[in-house]
Amino acid sequence: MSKLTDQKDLSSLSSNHKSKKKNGLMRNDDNDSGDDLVKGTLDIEYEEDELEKDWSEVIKLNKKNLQMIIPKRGEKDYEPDGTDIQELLLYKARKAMFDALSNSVRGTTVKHQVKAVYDFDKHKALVLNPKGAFLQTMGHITNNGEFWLDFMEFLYLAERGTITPYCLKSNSMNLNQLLPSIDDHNLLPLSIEDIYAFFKTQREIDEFSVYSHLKRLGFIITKVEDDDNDNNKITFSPKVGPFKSICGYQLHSLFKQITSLFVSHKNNLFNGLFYNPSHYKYIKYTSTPQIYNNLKLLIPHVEVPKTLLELQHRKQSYLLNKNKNHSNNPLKLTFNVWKPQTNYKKKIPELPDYQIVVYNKNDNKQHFPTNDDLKNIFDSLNYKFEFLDKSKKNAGTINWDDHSYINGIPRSAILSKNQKKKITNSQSETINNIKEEKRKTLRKQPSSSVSSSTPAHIKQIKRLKNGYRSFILAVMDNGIISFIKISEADFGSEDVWYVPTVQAKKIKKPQYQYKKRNIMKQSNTDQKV
Amino acid sequence: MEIHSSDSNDRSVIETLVKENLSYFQYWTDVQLEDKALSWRGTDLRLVSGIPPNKLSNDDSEIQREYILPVNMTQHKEEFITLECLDLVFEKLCNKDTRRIILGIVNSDGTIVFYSIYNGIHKPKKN
Amino acid sequence: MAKHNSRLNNVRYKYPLPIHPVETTLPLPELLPHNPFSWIYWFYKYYRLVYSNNEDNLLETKITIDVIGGDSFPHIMVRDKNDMLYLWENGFFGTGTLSRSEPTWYTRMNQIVNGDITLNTGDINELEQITRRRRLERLEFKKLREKLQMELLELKKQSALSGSDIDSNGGLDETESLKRINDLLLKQREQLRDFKALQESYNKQNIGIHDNVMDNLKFDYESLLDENGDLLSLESLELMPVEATFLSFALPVLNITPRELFRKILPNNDNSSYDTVHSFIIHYVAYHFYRSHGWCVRSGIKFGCDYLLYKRGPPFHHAEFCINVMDNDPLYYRSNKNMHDYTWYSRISRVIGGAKKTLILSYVTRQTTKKQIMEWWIKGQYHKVFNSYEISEIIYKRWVPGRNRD
Repeated sequence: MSKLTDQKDLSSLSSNHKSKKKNGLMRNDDNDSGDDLVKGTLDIEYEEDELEKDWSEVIKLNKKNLQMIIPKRGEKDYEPDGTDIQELLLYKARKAMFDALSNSVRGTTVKHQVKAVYDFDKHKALVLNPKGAFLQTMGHITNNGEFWLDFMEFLYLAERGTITPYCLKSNSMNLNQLLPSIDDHNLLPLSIEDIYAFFKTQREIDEFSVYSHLKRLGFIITKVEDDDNDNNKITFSPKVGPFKSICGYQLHSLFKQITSLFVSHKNNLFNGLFYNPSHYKYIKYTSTPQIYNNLKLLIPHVEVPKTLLELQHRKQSYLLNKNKNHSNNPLKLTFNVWKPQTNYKKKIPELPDYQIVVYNKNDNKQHFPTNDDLKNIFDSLNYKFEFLDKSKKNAGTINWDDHSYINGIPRSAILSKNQKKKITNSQSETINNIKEEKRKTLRKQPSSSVSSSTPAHIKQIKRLKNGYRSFILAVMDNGIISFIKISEADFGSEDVWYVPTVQAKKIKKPQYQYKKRNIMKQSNTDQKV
Repeated sequence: MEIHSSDSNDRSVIETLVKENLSYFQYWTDVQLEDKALSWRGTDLRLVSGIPPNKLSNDDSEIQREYILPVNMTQHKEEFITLECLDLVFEKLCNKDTRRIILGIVNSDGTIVFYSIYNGIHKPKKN
Repeated sequence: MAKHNSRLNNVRYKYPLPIHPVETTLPLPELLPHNPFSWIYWFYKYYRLVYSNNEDNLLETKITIDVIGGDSFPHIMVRDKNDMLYLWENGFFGTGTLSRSEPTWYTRMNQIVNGDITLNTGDINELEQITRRRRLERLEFKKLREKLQMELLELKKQSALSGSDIDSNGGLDETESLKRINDLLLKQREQLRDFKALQESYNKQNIGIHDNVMDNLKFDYESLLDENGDLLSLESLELMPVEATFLSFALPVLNITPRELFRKILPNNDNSSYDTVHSFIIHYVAYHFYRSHGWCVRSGIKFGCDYLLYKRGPPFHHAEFCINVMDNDPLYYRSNKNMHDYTWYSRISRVIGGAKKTLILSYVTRQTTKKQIMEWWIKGQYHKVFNSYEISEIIYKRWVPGRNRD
């Protein structure tokens, strides 16, 4: 059933590489950068990697087979001006694009061909003789040494021409039985269109669009698996025993509830006094911050977790309550994303740099995340919280290998264990040392490590602008993907009111004010001279 | 009965605000409230007209009298001004050759924003 | 120049709120927490300084407002010239109805009427002058560009193509024409760039550009004068409903009680149902929240959001944050009408991103029943009402993968 709709979406998907329409009129291939003169400055900053390519230059690249940056196009004409010249330029530009596409070399040499066979039951593909750079970041090896690609990986590599896609000729055949010596008689080559027809849901198509888009940009991507309790997965928040967790986190939240009750009650009494105008008869304020401090007690706000310890608490209580408050929102973390890198370790990856939620804006069953949905997503996050790095900048960036765990063991310990496999004795010692160190840093964490160089108000603005926990929302709209970074903010924990400096305070005294002004004017003219 | 009188009072308030803004802030001249009225959703709509100090668009051949329809921001948000309403405004309140009117949206923060509305399709202006 | 301004501004805007601290003629002695004697001394001094005079924090005479436009579209006006100035200088409240923000119309006009300045030689630092200047610059630039484009079109029309068949490879004529057009294009770009640079340098040297429009302005100044020949004060300061509420409920400087104010500005407030006050409450809660943490909160209408946050105020910093108040009331957002779809978010974020500001979505959540809120509301216990809403915030920002790779 769903295949029909899937097919319909193919056209939008395949044209998705450069979804922007080429409806602008092209001018000549002058790649002078002066075009920002006329163009509005509004979007220049954002559009860098969306800029359309000048196809006439692409041809030259193809011929020379050089890895170069494709130059930007010139500015657009406002309207058809009826001249032949304009027509000619337009024609040339269009022709250049088609030439660029038709002249490109495709296919692989037999020697380098890698065959992958799609398995309908598993919805995965088996790679027959795995070789190539993709092995380092994609696929997984089973216990008996078979190399399998997830469906998205399969399609992505097939589209790129890295693998040659096949399926078994007959449904009655079984891949496992044929395995030891599979030969071409049993295999049926697949076209890209065939593979697209294997998508199971619209959601899977959406996810693939996002996957392939980021993949082409060089990111490393894996799917976020559902079972958060899987010990073999890397996490910043190691699992603790059930007893400890219940005591620790439930008590913690109970305590918070009680204190917040107390605080709000106290605030109400206080507010009743402050917002009664006659209280000014009895209470006098001698500084503006006193007034602010009273004003700000009126509106309560949600405080967000800011330290590693607080983050771990949130994650643990999320895992404990996960089954209880199973929200009906289908939006959840879809992808782990790492920035392009060469030392990625597929078996023990570090925490991802970003986590992505895929959302289709035209699906009636989905809605843009509400505040509650967002809270849920924030609590489920498991990545390198970049704001922790920033807060510790001068103390040296946080070493995530010490603060991310697999099976409760810090990643750094696993790495060093792998390195010094021979010296087995020192293992436990290392782990203990690291644990000890971890405890120390955790204790230190909550106190904001003040760096000497950046002024406090600049740091404050940075905190306000960047926020805390964050994820990327990838919005699908008929093949067009928009990425949005959604971060928690906490303006309620920052005060920005103006506190006059000592100098300004002196001017305050009314009897001196006139004189002071005169002096100031004088000193100013001095400066000018 | 009272509701009606307060309604027309509201109307005259934003008409006055638009008139004052044009005369004293934008330096328009000969700003006046037009006589013709149109009843729309229980409110009498009138246009304010005046002569701007410069051409409002490069496409204009010369400075001309412009017609402004005052509207409150809250109304604007509630989609008080519909296509039907604008058609009626062009038909009943304007001359036959009026190509555009200007929406004067009065906000509650002391600002008024002006937007041109053209009757029919109009070539976009060059940026 | 800038330094001079900032010093004057520090004097002019030394109070961020319209309620001032009590002036103490002598500084208070230092309070040493570990020394009990210093405490006693401090309290003695405090009493002497603060309570010996009758002065308190409130204004001597409160500010009168005029609500026009009925309860459906209220406009809250401050008419008195000194009051307008006071509210602007002590927290940047309100907007001059005939100015960009600070009510400067009277000063500007008075200078013109007295012949001190003309409209185009006026103090270039006035916001209104800067706007006018930029508009003129853009206009001049466009005129030049138009002229150059006509030249280019002429050349294009002249350039005969070798054959009528556009497909043919073309002869020397075609290559030559293309080359000439390309050369002209490059020259024109250079010209436009130079023109921009020239404008920029005039701008820096403060050289006025000639504004023909303003010279030819047939402005009837006579009509602005009273019988004594003095300029009429035609400008008012308009307060947003949330600002007026803050200045009545939180810091009582307006000559009106909150209850009276709400009766005037909220529709059908006599037979109050929660729906009539809900939207106002959540907007006030957000306004108060940011104000109380020290921000100067002004209308965000220019950027399609609810509020702009300034540090200290518009003369000191650009607004870096745009606040959009999000109705997080389960009764409202669950219904489809009130749930924004992605297009809404995209629209608002592109406008704000284009202005290089940060968009904050500020979710306001009711923590108690509607019935309870209305009970307090009717009793006039507004602090309990506002205290029952909680703020939680997110930052919404466009993310470009290509710019986040390393």
